Amino acid sequence: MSFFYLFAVLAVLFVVPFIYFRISTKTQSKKKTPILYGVVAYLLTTLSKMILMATFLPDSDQEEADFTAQFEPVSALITIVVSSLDVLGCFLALRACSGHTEVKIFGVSFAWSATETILSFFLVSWIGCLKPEFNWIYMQNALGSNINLLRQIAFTHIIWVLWKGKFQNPDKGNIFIWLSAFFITPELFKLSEVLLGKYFIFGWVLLVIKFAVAYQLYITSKKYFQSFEQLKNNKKKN
Amino acid sequence: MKYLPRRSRLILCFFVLNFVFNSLTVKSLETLPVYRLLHSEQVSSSTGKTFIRGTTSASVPSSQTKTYFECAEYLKQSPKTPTDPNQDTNIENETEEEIPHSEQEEFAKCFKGTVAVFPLFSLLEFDISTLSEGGSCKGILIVLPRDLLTTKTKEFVTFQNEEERESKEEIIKKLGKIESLLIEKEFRVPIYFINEDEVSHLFSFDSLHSDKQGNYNLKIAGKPGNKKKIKQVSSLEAWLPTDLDEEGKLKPTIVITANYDTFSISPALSSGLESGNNAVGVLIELSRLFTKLYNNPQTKGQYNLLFVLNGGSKQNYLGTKKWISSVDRKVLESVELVLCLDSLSIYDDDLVKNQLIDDLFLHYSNGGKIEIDKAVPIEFQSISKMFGINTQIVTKKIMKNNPLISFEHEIFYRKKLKAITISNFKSYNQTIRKGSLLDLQSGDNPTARPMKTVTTLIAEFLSKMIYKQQQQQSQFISIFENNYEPNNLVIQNINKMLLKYNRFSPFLEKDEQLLLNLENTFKSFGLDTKIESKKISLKKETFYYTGTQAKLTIFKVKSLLFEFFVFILSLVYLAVLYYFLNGKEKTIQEIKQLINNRKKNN
Repeated sequence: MSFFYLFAVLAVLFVVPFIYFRISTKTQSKKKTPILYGVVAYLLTTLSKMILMATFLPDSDQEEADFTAQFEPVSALITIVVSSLDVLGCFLALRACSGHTEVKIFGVSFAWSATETILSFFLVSWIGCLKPEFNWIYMQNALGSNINLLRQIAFTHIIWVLWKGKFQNPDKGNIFIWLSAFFITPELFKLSEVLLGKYFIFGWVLLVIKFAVAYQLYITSKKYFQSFEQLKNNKKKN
Repeated sequence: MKYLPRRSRLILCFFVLNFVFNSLTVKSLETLPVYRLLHSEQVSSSTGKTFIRGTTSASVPSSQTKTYFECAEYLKQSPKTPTDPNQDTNIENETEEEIPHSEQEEFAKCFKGTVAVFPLFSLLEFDISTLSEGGSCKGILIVLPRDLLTTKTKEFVTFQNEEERESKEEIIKKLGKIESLLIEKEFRVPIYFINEDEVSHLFSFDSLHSDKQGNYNLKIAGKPGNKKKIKQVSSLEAWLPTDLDEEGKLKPTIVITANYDTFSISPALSSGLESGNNAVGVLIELSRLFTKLYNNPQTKGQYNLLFVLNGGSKQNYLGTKKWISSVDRKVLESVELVLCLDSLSIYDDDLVKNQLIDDLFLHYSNGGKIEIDKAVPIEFQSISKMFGINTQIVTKKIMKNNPLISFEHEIFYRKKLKAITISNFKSYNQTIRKGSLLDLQSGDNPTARPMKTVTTLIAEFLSKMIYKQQQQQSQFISIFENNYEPNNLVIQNINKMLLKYNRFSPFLEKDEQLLLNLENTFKSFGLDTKIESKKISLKKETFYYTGTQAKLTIFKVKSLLFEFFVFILSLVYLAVLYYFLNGKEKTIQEIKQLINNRKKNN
């Protein structure tokens, strides 16, 4: 493949977070500390998750992961449990930084997503896009990382609501259910990949479904956040 | 959809359109099975030098393909289409149209950095060894024509006249030479074989100008494999005894042998039956018929029958040599005749009516201390005439200093046992008999050669010895009719079973499933059966490498224009996303500001 495809993939990978960054920093004060805390939190959380996965995840027999991945329930369960460490990482990052609420939420979510994009997708895309065979998977991964950004924003909102609400929120049962959806949905997508087959065409269908799910999570978390803010403002007034 | 906000609806539509667009493009990835050329090493006991044969490389990196025709065009040559055995071809003209040696190097340069795709018959026109130097092409893919795999045998049988038959035999000889070349030299580039049916939609070899259906890249993830040598060879014996004589000793024995192993220059394709293994079904059917006869006290013969299946036949009959050195001495002393069944193919009851019939050949040796009774081959000849088959008798004097065994009976002759070989081949070194790529039966047509006639003929011949019948030609009455008629289905089922297994001797283990299945078949007839595995230690050891099968990944390379289009599309996506996230008014304001700034600068 030529550099055109590489530039296309890199543009989709990095320009979307940049757009988000540019739009958000217009209305907020330009604070860099939440971003810094977000990056550190992501790195430490990912490192801890890797250590736990290496310790507890059983060996897989599969050789090539991309098109022939099989779903293993035990591994999926362990992955879900270990992924819940993200809650702790995100919470610590939000707690550590100071400033306006929206600045902190924006900073942490942007930093988390951008670091994940650089570490998980950048190198793979760079090497893969320059291979002679054309493969849509790199573009799909780039679009997937955009969806992850949306998902991360929603996740950070939910963590904020849970933390600041101090578990007194009347909706906390529902919030926990939505929170668990963040960990379960990636494994459900893996299962559906296996069930739907190995044809690349289903990659696009899955992407649409992922976007729909991420958007729903975003809408719900935004709703909880707004209702929480309203509740807080009413208390202040009273 | 109604409940989603407008922005989300538009973004969703964008994704759906993207999906629809991509669903119209052709699937890029395809995985096909390919078969690697043999790789063997032989260490010379005197000099210690290692002789490497075949292809030493296994994997082909992702590379573009170039077909034979593309490069021939480049040379402004116009070679004929690959010689089809059905077409009238003048062999002399073919040699004239071979690519001249001076241009062969130019031709080879055309394939530099690519995977060279050759139809099998094009190797008649081009010396493939010029591509073997490292740094030249990345790999060679030889396409096996469809004709070889389905109705090949019928193609070679259905000839109109002797001239046509001779030209086809010439082609077989030439292909035999190509095969010899491929396994006598060392090739540093990987060489793989693939069936035409798998790639016919990608490469067209029917016309001079192959239609390129897009640029293709190939990748073969082959493994070099493990070194293996023949450590042991197995023989399967089925014993059908008669009563002991008055003194309690063994009565005379007739041994009937056949071989179950085969050879191919691509070991993964060692599953054909032409080189001699089609006799296995005949032998098993004979054992069934005679077991039935011996179970009836009135038809029990005066001879013990020993049915033997040996391996290692393509390694100078290693299995037979080991078997004869290990067989019980009492049994060996009671052997009166050894009937070796070689390839018995071509005969088809349907074909016999309209086509030229190939002769059968009865081989025996003379000039030694043991002489076979000449009445035996004459008897066989006369019986075969009654079945409408012409048998030619071929005698050969054995040279004791020559270790090469032409036909199996020579091994028994050297052990002073009377033996004959029945074969479809006149000469031992015929291409298909040695084991060839031509020796492939398609799974679609395993019943290409029902062997009922030949089985009946051999059964009648044996029964004459066993029952000591004296019949005049005019009063020929066949025993093997009605209940004792050979069953084609048994032979076909054995053939089908053999076709499923790769029977390359160096890779066969002693507990091979094939042997267990054959043993069970004999046991189901009620025969006393055993498998004997003997260890082999040779002075000149030849090692063969496994990893003979690999997966070929073929993918289309997208054009530059397509990738540029994807790049533009991604920019459009980003612009649309920015527009929706920023808001309509703000975006228009920014664009206006940008335009104004540019005007000011200008």
